Amino acid sequence: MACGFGACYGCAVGVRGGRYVRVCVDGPVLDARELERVDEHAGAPA
Amino acid sequence: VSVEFCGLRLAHPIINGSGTFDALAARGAFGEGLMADFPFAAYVSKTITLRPRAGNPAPRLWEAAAGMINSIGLPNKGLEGYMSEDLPALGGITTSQPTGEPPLHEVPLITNVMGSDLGELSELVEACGERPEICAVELNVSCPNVETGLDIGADPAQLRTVVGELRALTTKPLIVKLTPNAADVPLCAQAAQDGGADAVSLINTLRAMALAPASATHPAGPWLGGVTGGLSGPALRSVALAQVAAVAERVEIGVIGMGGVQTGTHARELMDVGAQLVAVGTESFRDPAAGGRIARELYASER
Repeated sequence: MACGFGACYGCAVGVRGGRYVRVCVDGPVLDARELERVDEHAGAPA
Repeated sequence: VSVEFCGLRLAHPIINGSGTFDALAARGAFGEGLMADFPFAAYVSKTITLRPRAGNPAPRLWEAAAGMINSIGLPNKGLEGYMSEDLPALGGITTSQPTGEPPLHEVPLITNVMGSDLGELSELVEACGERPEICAVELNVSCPNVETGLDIGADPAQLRTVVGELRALTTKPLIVKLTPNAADVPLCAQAAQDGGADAVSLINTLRAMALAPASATHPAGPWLGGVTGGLSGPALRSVALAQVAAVAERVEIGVIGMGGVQTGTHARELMDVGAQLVAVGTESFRDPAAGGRIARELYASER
């Protein structure tokens, strides 16, 4: 996480519908059913 | 102690790098006082594109040695959302003078825009030209041309043409944010000047990559959802100094220097090699009030 107050969009995670939410201001607790996917490291090719 | 840049009067030479400070998010976190005593002498918006963008797949950040790599992907509301929702909320921002003396000083708004072709860029620049709240337009030319795949800003001939076309569309100051990922950055600065730009700003992030180690389920692969990203932070400082010096030597138009600035001394160094303004980026993530502190340090060092 870079800024911690919603400015940098670095902590974004994908949710259903192709949107992203910011963990710092929209989380840190998110509804797991809304998350797009949870991987060990999502950046690696699936 | 105020400075003039492209016809704008600023309280001091320290501004923010585009995308590294969000005034509305900061107001939400730190309250109205933030808008009265803004950390920067001018506020540069995040990059605005014609249509809304969701941004790049996660993960978007990697902590590197003396810096960070980001692959945010320019999430934004698009031109219409920016003009109707953000711009009206950004009026009346003021900042303290680095002397600490009254009165508060107005903070001009600079809007950063990016388009993937001349048509998009023209629409963006014309729209900015119509809004009196916007004092200057910064062009993010670190965007691949859809046909050539080459960044518009990395190809001097293309850059000169694009800036020339956009120049004709607005009387507001045009700032070209140069890409450091070009073979000859001073030549690109020269092209921006020849096209009619009022200033150049540099350096943007350096293209960079981070690998995630192999795990039980994945082979080793790119960590960032966008595969590559941009390196920023103190790691860039000496690169920025070299590029700003070379560009300032080449062009007569204004120069905004940035890259790893953390202190008034770092800002002074960029000014010593030819920058008139200095932008602070990654340091604001560590300390959201860094801009004001750096301005005061710079002022104290000049006395």
